[in-house]
Amino acid sequence: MSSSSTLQPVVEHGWRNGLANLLRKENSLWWGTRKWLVQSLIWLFFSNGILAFLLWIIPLIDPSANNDLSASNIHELVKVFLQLELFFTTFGVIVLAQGLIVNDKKFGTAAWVLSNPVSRSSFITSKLISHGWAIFLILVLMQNLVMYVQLVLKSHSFYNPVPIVLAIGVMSLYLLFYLTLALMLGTLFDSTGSVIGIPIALLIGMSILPQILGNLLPWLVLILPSRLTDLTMAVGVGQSLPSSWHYPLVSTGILIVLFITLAIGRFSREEF
Amino acid sequence: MNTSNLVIDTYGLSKKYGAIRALKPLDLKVARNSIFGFLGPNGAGKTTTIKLLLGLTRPTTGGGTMCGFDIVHDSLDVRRKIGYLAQNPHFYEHMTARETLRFRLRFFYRGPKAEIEQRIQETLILVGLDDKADRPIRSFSGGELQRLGIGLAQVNYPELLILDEPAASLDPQGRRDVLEVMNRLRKHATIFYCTHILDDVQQVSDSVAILNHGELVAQAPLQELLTGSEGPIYHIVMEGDARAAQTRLESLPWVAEIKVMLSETQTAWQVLVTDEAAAKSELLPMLVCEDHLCVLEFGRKKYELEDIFLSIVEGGKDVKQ
Repeated sequence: MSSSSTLQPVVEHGWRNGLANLLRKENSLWWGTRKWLVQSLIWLFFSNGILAFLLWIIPLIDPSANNDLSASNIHELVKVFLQLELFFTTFGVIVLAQGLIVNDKKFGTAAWVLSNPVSRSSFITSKLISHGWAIFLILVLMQNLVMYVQLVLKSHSFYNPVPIVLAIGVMSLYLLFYLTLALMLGTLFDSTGSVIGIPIALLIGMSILPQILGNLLPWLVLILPSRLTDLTMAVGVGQSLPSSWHYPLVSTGILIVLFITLAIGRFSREEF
Repeated sequence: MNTSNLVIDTYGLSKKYGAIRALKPLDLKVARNSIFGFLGPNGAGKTTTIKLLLGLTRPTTGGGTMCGFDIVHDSLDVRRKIGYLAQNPHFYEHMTARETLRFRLRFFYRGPKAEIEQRIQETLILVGLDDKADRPIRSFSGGELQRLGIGLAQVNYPELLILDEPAASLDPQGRRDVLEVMNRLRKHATIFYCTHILDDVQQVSDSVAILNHGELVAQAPLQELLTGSEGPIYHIVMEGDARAAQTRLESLPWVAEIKVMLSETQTAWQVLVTDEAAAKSELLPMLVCEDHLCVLEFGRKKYELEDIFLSIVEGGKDVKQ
């Protein structure tokens, strides 16, 4: 054992103990392997595939089809894209996040990691930040960017990107809701079935709840996170927004904070 | 024992899971720079104790210190000072041995990359995995995983190494290698380890504690434990007529009992003494001076740890220091 070491002890305090190293490790799962490439191709296919088909393939198959992209046509295409993007990526986030905590608990790696100077908050936070960032870049930003480039190339004109940027913001909040929900469920349950099943049940429940409770509890309908899907499409095409547009933003934000707090609280009490 | 010399010091540390008492109040003292064997049958509470020490589980009552830090309130400081190998170690299978060592080392140190890599390489050589360093862990055998676990536990040069069954899944050669590594590390660290392999404990440990049904039933330096609880016994084998010598010996005040075993040509005695100093200086010279008597074997009776362990665990003896 060398005694003339110039290595310096890592000095981190409180909840950040081990965070930098855990972030590096979690990031390497995406960027140190081909996962980023595989996921990019998958989501390009799902999110931009149909748009590409409409814009580039149909005119080749049927040259008589209307090939002009008017502003209203662009809005329709953006809407279709955002609808599909939201649908697929919501499932994508749930699937990608299902094992983030559960697998570490199940396979004993969480106990090993936590035998190092690592706070339990860092453990959860590192998963949230690194996977949230990768999901944002690959599933959201890249897809919207490719969609935008496709529209610009096809229309040969500049399309105002601000509504798309706003849509990306709302969509990201919506997906963050599911990511934090899955992380929290991962701390509560020991099987991935529950971590997938509950968010999917919630997704379906929130889509039918307005029809069932719309008259009884109108305020509940206004604050459901699922309203962010309508809001995403509305801001994406520059539609005028309803007066209650900020309600789901606030409620979803509160729920995200609640999920993170519960996840950290529950994981801090976990016994290995 | 001076408390400043203790690397582990618990008081009334206990754990209950519902109605099950996994660990009864435990007062454990482990001296610095020792190799401490923590023994007990399956389900005795050894792994629970380790998890409590590491902060992976919260105690029901009691507490303690490790490396001078409170195990409950300063758990992060405790974990900065230790290295831990779990009973069935699990690491990230997609990572290589080198990446895993790097991952763990970065929790403790930052600095020149070359030096970090050198530390990793030294560790790989120490545990004999340098030729497999860049293979994903998923392809490792049980023994290789165990050796990697030992490497990981010591890569930060901890003050205290906690090893839970370090040689359990190893072949005899692997076991020997692990004991060698432990012997090498004892210069730099205290080693606290759980095992079922009592022969290994006898080879390398300074002190042992025995846990049974969640209760500490013995804790003592190994040599003290091996002398047995009956008192010093000398084992003597002679050739010739030993009757006169026996009479003379029985008259001595420090001889408590002589057990005689006769064979065709030899006589074997087990002499229980009350004054070891007198026995050491007088017993052998007295026998050597006897006419017609030839001493073939002479020595202090040694117990095997297995005998002690079984008598304590099965017989309910209590040998706390």
